[in-house]
Order: sequence, then C-alpha cells, then structure tokens
Amino acid sequence: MRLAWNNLWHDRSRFAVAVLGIAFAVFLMIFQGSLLLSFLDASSRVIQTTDADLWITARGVSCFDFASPLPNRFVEIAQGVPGVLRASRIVSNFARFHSPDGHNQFVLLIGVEPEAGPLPMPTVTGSASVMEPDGVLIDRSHAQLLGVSRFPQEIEINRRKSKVLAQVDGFSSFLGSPYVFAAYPDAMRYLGTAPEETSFILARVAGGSNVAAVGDELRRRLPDVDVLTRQQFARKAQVYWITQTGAGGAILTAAILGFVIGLVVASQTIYATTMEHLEEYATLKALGASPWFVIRVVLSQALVCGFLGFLIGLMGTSPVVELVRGSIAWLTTPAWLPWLILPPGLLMCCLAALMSIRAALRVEPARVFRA
Amino acid sequence: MPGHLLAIQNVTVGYGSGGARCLALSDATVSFSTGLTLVTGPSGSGKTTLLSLLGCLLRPDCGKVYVGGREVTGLSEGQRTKIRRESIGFVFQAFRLLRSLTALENVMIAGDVAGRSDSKRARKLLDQLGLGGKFQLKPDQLSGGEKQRVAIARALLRDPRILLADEPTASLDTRSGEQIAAILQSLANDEKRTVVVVSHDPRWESFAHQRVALSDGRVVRQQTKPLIERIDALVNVLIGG
Repeated sequence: MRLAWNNLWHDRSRFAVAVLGIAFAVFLMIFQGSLLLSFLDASSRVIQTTDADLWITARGVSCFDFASPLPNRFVEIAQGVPGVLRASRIVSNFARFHSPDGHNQFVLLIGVEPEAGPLPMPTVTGSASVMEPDGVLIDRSHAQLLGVSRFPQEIEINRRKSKVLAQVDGFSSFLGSPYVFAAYPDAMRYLGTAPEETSFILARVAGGSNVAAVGDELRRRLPDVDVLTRQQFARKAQVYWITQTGAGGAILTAAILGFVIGLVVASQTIYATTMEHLEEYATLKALGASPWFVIRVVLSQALVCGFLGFLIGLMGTSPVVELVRGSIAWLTTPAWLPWLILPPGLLMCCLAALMSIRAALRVEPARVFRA
Repeated sequence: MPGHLLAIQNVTVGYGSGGARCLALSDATVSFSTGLTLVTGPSGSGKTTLLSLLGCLLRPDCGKVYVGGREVTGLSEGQRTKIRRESIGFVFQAFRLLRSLTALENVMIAGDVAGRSDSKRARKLLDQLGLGGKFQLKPDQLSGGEKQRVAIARALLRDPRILLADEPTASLDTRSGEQIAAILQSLANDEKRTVVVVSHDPRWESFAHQRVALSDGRVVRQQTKPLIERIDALVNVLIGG
C-alpha cells in the first residue's frame, strides 16, 4: 500500500529505528537460539556421532561425560543376544593432560574400539582400523588450551607418556575439559581402569532385526543397566544438561529471555510507529476509511518493518557468531533456525500491529475537528 | 425534517456523567438547505458538536439527524462510514493532510479509502483550484492557503453534495482566507452544494445565505438572507470592496 510505504519512508529516521529495533530482536533470537541448539548438540555430540543403535550404560548415567563403570563381561552377553551384529566398548573418564611447556589441563579421555563407529581414533596413517599405539587426538579448538602447537607432540596423560598425533574438528567440549580420543587399550591404561570394567557398551543391530525387540532382550538379560537407543540417550543427555546443570539452565533462560525481549522490542517498535500516526488514522476514518483500510495500512507497515528487520538481523548474526566462535567453538547457527524464527517474528510484528490497530480503530474520528 | 438534505431535530448531546455532565447541544433543531450556511457562536456553544453530528462522526443522546434526506441516527457504524465516504466532504481548520503524501496523493486518498483511485479527477480538481504545478509537493512544502485548497480538492473528489468546513480560514492570512471563502461560496452557489461553515470570521456573514447562531448548546437564531444581499456581498468580495 502506497500510504503505508510513504508513512514509513517519510519519517526515515523513525523507520530506521523501527527496522533496527526489529533487527536487534531478530539477532537476539537467532543468536540465543543458536547458543541453545549448539549447546544441546555439543552435549550429545559423541553419542550422536556413533552408528550404534543401542547404548548400554550403568544404571542412572545421565550423559556421556559422567560415566559410571560397567562390568566388562556384559559386552560378551550383549554380543550373544540375537540380532546384535556387534558389540563394542567405550571407556571414558577425566584425566590430567600435561604438555612439555608446562600446560596442565583436565581432559575427558575417550578410548574407543574401532568397531564403535565413526568416532575419531588415532589410526596408523593409511589404515582405518589399525591403531597407532600411545597416540591421541584432540579437537582443533583446544590445541592452544592444551599447549599443542605441532604434531606429533609428546605429552603426558596421568603421568603416562603419549603423543598428540593430529587434531580433529567438531568435537569441541562445552565443559571446559577438552575431549581427547585414544585407542581403547591405551585409554584403559592411561585411566588406570580395571580390566573387568568399561564405561559404555555400544550395540549395532543386524539389518532386518527390530531395534526395539533387541533392546527388550538386552534389558531382560542385563536387568541392572540402562539400555537406550542412540536417540534416547542423546535426548537424556540434553535434558540432563539443560535441566540439571546451571550452565544449561542459564543458556535455556537466556534463550527464552532473548526470545521474549525480542518480542517486546519488536512489538514496542511497531506499536510506537502506529501511535505516531494516530491523528492521520482519525482523519482517514473521518474521510470514510473502513476499519479494514486502516488495518491494511498498519499491517503493511508492520510487515515491511518485520521483513527488513529480519533480513538485517539475519545478516548481522553470521559475523557475530563467527566472532564468538573464537571463544565458543561449538557455537553454530543451523541453516533452518532463521527460517524457524521468521514466521513467529512476523506473527509477532502483526500481533504488535494488531494491538496498536486497536488504538487506531478506536480513535475518535470527531477529533479531526480539534485544531 | 424528513426530506431535508441535512438537518437535526430535537437533538441533545452531552459529555461526561453525573454532576460533571454538560450539554453540548440541548434540544436543538435546525435544517440546512442548498447554499452556504454560517454557524456562529462563542466557544463551547456546540458548533463543533453540531458539525460532528452532521458529519456522522457522533451520535446524539436523543433526537434525530438527517443526512441526504435519510435519518442516520440509528445506522450502523459501517453505514455511517459509507455515508461519510460517499456523501460528505470535510474541510478542517488544521487541514489534516497526510504529511507523507504529495498534494495529488492527498486528494486521491479520498478515492483510495473507497477502493476507487481517481488520479484524473484529482489532477483536474487541483488544476481548478490553482495548484496545477504543485501535484508532487508534500504538505510541508505548501503555504497554508495551498494546503487548504488541497483539502478542499480532497473533499470534492467523490463529488459530495454536502461540505462541512470547520473554521476553514482561521489558520490562514487575510488573502488566502478570502480565496478559500470565495471557493466555498462558489461551490455553494454555482454548484448548488450544501456548504456548512463554522467560523468566527465576520467576513463569512456577508455572503452566507443562511446563518445559524448557537449559544450554550441551543439554537438561538436561524436566519435566511435575501438573495440580493448575498449577491451584493459576493460582488464586494470579488472586487475587493
């Protein structure tokens, strides 16, 4: 509508403030949403990366990062359940990482059997399954923190000699204790884990077998442990981190606040824009404009501000996320998130417009006679 | 009263409630015929309330309002809006132009609200009112007299038979005020429209064919001037006498 656009363009400074207000709201929503989703993703990254259909954990284990010991013999029991293609083990625990230049850091050491699936493993160059002895891998984002500047680099883990062979991407820890990947036997040795214990057992179900049925059979044969599908365990870990820890709670609260503040800022901006033209709406009504005409003008203004604000907010988010990734390596913005925010964002602009429309519709047209 | 183009009958309008209630119009009856009617009265006498009633912008507490020969008192808001759009043109003291629109767009908006944009007629009206070269100027680029002429063009776009003008010359200098008075006079006399002007400006008295005086919400005088006196007055205005 010409009038809507002219109203906005006529008062360009107010228009710019309105668009920037909405852009800020959109930025806040996308950024906080990214933080929350990235946190959820990071909190279950190791679990999600495996190709295991079922995870067997000690009873009550809430997430990958805080494992409890499992009897090692359970792996044979799991392997014997019909439908289980293979069972493999993961051992993990916190360890002290010491580099030659004096860096000391607690890390979460993860020892993986080659059968566990596509987790980072220190394999011999040119081989996908032969492990390099006494070698570990770290995430690129933690190299500086761990004092690793070249590969291989001699280090100590729990006072045992080892070496960092290479760095990987995508396994930045959100805990402050970097993930360090090792071959299963090496990790057992570094951690001093008893041979009769392990941390997790991963079961891959044979093609044609029913995962749920295999899970039920595992629960029957191993009644004192938890048997969860990969998705269930990932969800359990996410829920644990979000609801049971201060960090997750803070991020969740910030995300909700970001959304609410975004709504309020955008609503207030749209509302103020409408109220600015209240006298003109009274004139239009006196001239015989129907309520629908007034609604169209106000809604059009809200949608123009909403779309432009969304585009600018979106464009502003990407560089800021990149900047923040320097300190929060696991932060990413899923491509679908902005598009998820667009409909409620526009809806919010329309709702704010509708709130202000009430004022515009209720304005007394007889006030046009006031000088 | 039925059959009158524009009239109110035994109308009472009050504001406030209880002890603070005051009557803006009290049992007022007045009718308006073709030509220019001047409504006068001191502040608070009910002039603006009368104009609001005639413009279907206000409902009376009791009594009847007739617009275009039809009683409008009990009509729905939608029907009253349609009457405003189709049958009534407004001219305001403060012009009430939309500041984001050009002169041409300000005139066209009267058609836009009815869903019928009419650029050709808007241009023609602006031309007739001496604003041919100022179509694209915004209100803040126009003088007071030019703004009021744009407002008159807007009021005329839908060719209403009724024009309601509230202090149309109060914000203008003498010369611009005379131009506006002459335009409204011409619309009343030459085009046979019903023009109701509320004004304190004594110049209007000389060429209004009807005069309505209000005081404390009551019609204290309704007087029709003989034709010969109005022609004299108009000639005086036109020759600057």
